[in-house]
Amino acid sequence: MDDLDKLLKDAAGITAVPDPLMARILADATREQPRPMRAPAQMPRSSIWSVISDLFGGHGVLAGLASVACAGIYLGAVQPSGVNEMTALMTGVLAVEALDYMPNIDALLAEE
Amino acid sequence: MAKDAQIDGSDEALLALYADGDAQAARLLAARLVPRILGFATRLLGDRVEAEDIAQEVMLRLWRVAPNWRSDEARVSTWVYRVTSNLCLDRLRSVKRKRAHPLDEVAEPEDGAASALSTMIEADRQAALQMALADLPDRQREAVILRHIEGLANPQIAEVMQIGVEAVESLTARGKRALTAALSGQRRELGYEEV
Repeated sequence: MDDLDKLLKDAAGITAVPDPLMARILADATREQPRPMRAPAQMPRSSIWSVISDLFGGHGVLAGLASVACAGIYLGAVQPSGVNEMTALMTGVLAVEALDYMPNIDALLAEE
Repeated sequence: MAKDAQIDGSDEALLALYADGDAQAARLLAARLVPRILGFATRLLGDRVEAEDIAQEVMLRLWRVAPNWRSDEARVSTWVYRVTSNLCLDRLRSVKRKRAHPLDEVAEPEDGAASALSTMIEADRQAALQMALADLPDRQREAVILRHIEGLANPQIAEVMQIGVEAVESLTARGKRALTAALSGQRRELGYEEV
């Protein structure tokens, strides 16, 4: 039946899409559309100082350690007499009775 | 410029643009695909309202699958026809179709230049075709529509229906024979004897 081929061909016309249907489909598309990916925020580069600081627990702790180290170097270099006596007392070289707690008090009293 | 070229390009390129956030790509893709889905679903179901639901559902699934679409796996049009077919066949299986509706729901011809008489004759012919299609077994109807109305090649129909090409040829041949038999008794009523 040649007419059948013609009938089928005629049926192949473009189907009109109702506007409300297209609007619903485009609304779905907008709702489902993936959002553009943003570039991840760049991590700040960590310097050697920040690594060391983090290793010791932060800048505050590191500053404290530096201060103590400087004080140790100073005391080791100057060696004040009071510190020497304290060291001798602690190591048992000097007896407690021999320790002069106020080494300059005699001169002060004499002036009066 | 590269983007413009893609917009004029394939369905797959448009889908990739949509997945990249291009809203215009969605409009172009919908304009291309929805008329085909709607026409196919209307002829499979014989119900325009249900066909519109199917068309929306198919496109929704397409939007959702877009970010993971692999262009080397399937053509968008093939995928769309396959999903439409599956959804329609599911509905046909779950609901016993009433044969009275298709006659009322066949779209009117859009040629405004045609005379009222020829328009009526053409509408009658299309209604008769729709009724004859509705009487075919589901798979035969699907194969005939895809081959002779949607104009797909047999290998693509085989992909859509997930069967072999020979099976497609068999289904379309049997379908056409059945349509011929169904319509041959109505030749006079459909105005073919006078042509």
